[in-house]
Amino acid sequence: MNRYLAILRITWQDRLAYRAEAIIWMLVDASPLVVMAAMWIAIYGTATGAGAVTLGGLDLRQMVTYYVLVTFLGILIGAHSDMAIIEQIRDGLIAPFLLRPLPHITFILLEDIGWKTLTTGVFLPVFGLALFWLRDYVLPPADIAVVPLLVITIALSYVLFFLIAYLVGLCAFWMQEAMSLAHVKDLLVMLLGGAMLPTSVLPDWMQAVAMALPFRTIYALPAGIYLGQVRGWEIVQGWATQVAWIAVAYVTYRVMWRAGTRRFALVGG
Amino acid sequence: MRYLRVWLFFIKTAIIRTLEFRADFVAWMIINLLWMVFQLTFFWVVYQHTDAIAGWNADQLRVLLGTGYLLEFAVWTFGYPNLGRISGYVSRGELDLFLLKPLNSQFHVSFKRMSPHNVPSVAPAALLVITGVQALGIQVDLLTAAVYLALVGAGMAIFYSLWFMSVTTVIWLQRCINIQELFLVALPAQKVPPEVYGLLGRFVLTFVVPVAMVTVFPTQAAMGLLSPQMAGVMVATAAVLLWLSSRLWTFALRGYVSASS
Repeated sequence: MNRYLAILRITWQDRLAYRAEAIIWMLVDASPLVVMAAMWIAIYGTATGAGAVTLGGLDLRQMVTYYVLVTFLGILIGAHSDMAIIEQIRDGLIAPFLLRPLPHITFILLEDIGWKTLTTGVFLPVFGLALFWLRDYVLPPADIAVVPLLVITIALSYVLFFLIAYLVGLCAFWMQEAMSLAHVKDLLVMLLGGAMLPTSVLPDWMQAVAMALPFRTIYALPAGIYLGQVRGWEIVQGWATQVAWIAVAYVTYRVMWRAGTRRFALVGG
Repeated sequence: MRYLRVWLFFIKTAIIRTLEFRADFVAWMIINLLWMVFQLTFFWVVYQHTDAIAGWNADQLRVLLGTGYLLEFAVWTFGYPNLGRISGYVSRGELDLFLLKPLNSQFHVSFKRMSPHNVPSVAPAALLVITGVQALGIQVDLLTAAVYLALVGAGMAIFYSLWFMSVTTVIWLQRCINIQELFLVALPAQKVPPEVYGLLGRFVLTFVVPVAMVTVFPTQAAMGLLSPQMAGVMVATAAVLLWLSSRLWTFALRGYVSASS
């Protein structure tokens, strides 16, 4: 346990040196929320019919709440360690990790958690400001009883998203252009994970594609639970899907890590 | 004239550099186009559910988006590769090298590099504008086209000036910081109908921090909705901001303490 805390502490110290950078990144991350909220208010406004209009089963307040949730989740569980791993592999910096007593994935996970605790802390005031601005639109959870269920879902989303990013990072063992793969991952999460649009608004065939892939459980599932669109057994089904994909990702990780490091040793000498 | 020649030389070196990594070039080109397709998907999906966003129908919005992408093309091809490095130049003391060259240092730091893999995205952007205008049934004469292109240029100049000024502050901060990202917060805001922001927000974004002007004025010009006075205001704004950015740069350099030896 102590060594885990030590890694966390080092991450914090390291990252605190870059406070200003963190604040700027956060503003960049949060700015789409302002644009999106303003745009949806306008879209529902021109679709007319007072508050009765729904798109993909969501009314205006649910839609704005959806984007607030997704923005917050993006800060909380957004997984971007793939970029760092790709650089580590490309520049050979991953070599020292192979000699350390903890697996590489544990280091990356702890670093990520350390970074997340900081950014989430800094983000809260900005987030509060956004909530105040949108106070007429943001809804509380559909049912207060779902809050603990939500915590479980978000934790699973985080693990799944982290593993996906990690696997994309490992692709750098084989691919020169792994960085572009990281962008493809981001695109898929945005489109099919529900980060850009609620998946229920997508055309049917895209929803069908989304159902077959793990991404929709990252953002769309927790947001759906919060809004009360996903409830009862559907929540359990969602968890089952998440756990199944986590298992698949973990097995893939074991295989890729073994093959990749073996290959890396050959290349790096 | 001399500056044009130097710039063409910069572009040539950038292209040669890119040709060294051809697979990378293709990969990034595809990613850029995918991002665009993906953002357009958003609007496509929304227009499945509604006829207009803040009074803009799909064809009008197509012109606005195309204009927005033309600006983004300039931002990623010429802006980011240069302005994104200034902070690094300052913290590593490399800015000295720019100051010593017999070339305007602002021009040099702003145009030295480019990323060719963004260039292909200019085609779909232009296509959006052209098909949008056609779908609206607007007859475009040579003058309108010329005014449109001039205003797009003015828009790029406005965006560049504001961005450059925000990055210039790094000379006082004297450390490596991602200051170049800060102004990019404005980027998503300019591809949306300005009516979306309400009256106050629209005023602020048009005249105080004129990022909405950057795409909306040329778009209105293409649709024949912009008065000559407003076109004049935009060009004047661009000129004033460019002048201000060069004043700020020289002023900041006066306080520049080199980080190298």
